Amino acid sequence: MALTRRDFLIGGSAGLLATSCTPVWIDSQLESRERRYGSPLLVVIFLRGGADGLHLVAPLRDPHYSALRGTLALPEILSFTDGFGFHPAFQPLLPSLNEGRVAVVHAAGSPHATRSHFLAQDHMDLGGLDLSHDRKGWLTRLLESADSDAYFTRLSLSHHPPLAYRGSPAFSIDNVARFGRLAASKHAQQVLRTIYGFTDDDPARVAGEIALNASREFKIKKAMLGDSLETPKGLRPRSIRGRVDSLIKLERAGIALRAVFLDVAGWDTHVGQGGIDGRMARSIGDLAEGMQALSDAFRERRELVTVVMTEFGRTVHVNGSGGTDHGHGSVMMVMGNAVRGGVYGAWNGLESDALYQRRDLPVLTDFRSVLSEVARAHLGQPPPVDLFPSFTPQSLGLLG
Amino acid sequence: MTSLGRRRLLARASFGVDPKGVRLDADDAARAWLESQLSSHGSDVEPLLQPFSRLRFTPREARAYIGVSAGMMSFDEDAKKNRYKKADRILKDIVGARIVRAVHSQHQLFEVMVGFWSNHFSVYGPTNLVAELCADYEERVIRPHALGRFEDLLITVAKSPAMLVYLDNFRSKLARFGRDGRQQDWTGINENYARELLELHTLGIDGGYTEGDVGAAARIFSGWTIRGRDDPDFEFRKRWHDPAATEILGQRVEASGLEQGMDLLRRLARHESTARFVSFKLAQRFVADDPPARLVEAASRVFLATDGDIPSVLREILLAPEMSDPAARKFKTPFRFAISAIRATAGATDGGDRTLWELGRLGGLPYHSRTPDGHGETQADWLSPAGMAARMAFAFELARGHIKGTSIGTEVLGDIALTPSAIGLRGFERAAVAISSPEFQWH
Repeated sequence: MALTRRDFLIGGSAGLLATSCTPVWIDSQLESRERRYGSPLLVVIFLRGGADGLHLVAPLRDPHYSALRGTLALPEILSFTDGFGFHPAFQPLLPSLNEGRVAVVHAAGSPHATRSHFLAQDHMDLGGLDLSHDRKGWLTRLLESADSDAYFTRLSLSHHPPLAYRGSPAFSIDNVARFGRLAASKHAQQVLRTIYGFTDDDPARVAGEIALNASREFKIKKAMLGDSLETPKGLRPRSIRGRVDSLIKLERAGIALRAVFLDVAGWDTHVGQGGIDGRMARSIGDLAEGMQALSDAFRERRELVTVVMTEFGRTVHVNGSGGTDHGHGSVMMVMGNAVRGGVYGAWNGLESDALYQRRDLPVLTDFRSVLSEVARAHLGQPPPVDLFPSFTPQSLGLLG
Repeated sequence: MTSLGRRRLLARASFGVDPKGVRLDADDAARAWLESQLSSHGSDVEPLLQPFSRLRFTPREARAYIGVSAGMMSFDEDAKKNRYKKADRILKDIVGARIVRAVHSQHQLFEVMVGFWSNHFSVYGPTNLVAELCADYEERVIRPHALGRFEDLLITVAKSPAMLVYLDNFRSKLARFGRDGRQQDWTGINENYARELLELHTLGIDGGYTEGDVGAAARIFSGWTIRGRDDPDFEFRKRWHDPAATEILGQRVEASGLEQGMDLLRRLARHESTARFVSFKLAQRFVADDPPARLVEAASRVFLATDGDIPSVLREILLAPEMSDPAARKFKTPFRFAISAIRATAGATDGGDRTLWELGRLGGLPYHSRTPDGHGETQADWLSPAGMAARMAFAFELARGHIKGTSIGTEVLGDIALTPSAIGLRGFERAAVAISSPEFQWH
């Protein structure tokens, strides 16, 4: 693992950090470093479980839609374009939709034929590769060329870092309010800093030193915010909206972020999926609130590109339990200032012969084509050619 | 062996050195200790396992406890929640018992190998329908064979309800077609298990098999299923079996029915690639992330010569001269880190929910690898700044007595606590600093 020694903050002197007040130069260094992170913040929202794309964005004018979807068919939608409409639970996102900041790619997904959640998720996280020990995640490959001397450039707001970060020292924080909390006296912390400040190349020491410095930076920033990192009452901490709240506060606190990954379970709707209301509608509402909150928070602050993805879609037919089973193609959404709103990608309709194995929405747009445009929006230039090995992305024109 | 080699033997063939335990001062003592460990099977901490009343559930008992039919396909959210809660309770019992045994059992190498095999033949507990089968998997599949023969283990795993469900083989069956030529729903071969059998359980990804072999193996195992949802024991269903496999791994398929699969498992268990792959993983577990080729070769020769006798292979690896190579450091996985912290201070744990939660935060819990290749074993898998921050936080929570059900003892912890910078620290903070130190992360 190529962990390089970070001289930032520590200035080579462990003793300096043991003092309780923060020297001014630390903040000025932080400021200058943040300026270098002017590139758009990349937010990846992964809907775990296989989200039903036809329920998120419905092809309302398709002649087969009502019959195929049965109890799941939506009688009303939020108006949109080209014969597609958003589920009414997307209401909170309406401002962004109306401003044309949201692009939808329908019948998108992974060409991998698996209907296993894990295989499909791994395959996507690794950017279209199969799992084996030397594979890197797609976010790792994307950010490889980027400066990486700040601690939270690659962040995931989850317990375990996703495979998308495999092969990089990404931070994962499942509880923002708790991170960096060390139930240690000042003296004990000083001892820790001393033993972690030795100059040797023990990688555990190097990683630990980074951890201590990162925690410290985190705490300094947190203190500037006031102690308000707890999720506010009324927001569930594990929801998308709850974690977006954490993300916004971290960014406001001046933590240098480049990419943030957040995932949420609950999209595996085999049973009782619901129509306008119900289980999936609640999940969609959470997604919409989270996306709009991101959009609002970053409007004046910084460019933002958000991508919403899922491992696969679900059967076109409603099943015997008012739900849908594992399928193939689904929907991807991209939101950002540079995005041109609309529905993108090929669409063949819902006629039986147009479906994958006559049961699922097909994958007509490879998820890597979508991610390639997301990567371009993030980097401000075409992504490295090996971002998705042995894959040639198709140009979709999501960006203005 | 050098004294370093002996220290490592003691540390790596266990969940960490216990200050009240043995010291290996000479090679004879090291050999004698290893022999006693290799012949110490089973559970020796029964009284401590009393709280885990669901630990030894058979699949049928587990399903009865959960009441599958009640919650499974129900619209009733409460019934479903209740079902998940009970499945989760079973899984917590299993992992809690694992923690208690790892800390307190004298059969340390045995417990280490239970961990190794349950990770080699990984099943992900929190998946729907798998959690409740893990009790059977732990107690009747992995533990009886952890220091036995590889072939017995492989066959028992192949027939285990947990693996059959986890890797979907229970639904793999001969494809059937309707009059319109369309394949009927829920029929057809599922390759998931067959692929992982070759790639992860036996030959290894470079073990010299082809896509054709995967397809043939999948046919051979079609019909290996479970009797039913409420009675999920192994059953071979002949009418589900696809007899079309004619050749696999360069040999004709001679047998028919169930025996096809049994023959294949026996062949795989004796295959050179399997011997090398399993030896590689064991050498990586005990000696070095990048194990020396000589050692892997030597161990796989023993594997082949003894028909996969696990203690013989372990003896070859654990007493190898490479164990004494100063460069062969091993970074503790989070689970080993946490258990060794408790053991290093002669502490105690009840494996209760709070302890589970804290260990879960560190990562790498048994039955919690989301992918069928199990948790990684190397430094590259675990060494990260966030991981180190989590370890330090754990050390202080532990030392302060904040982890209900788990406490540390009062033994002095090695050299770190005695460094000049630590002078003046109170006892519990000395322990916390020692557990947090870079040195403690290695073994």
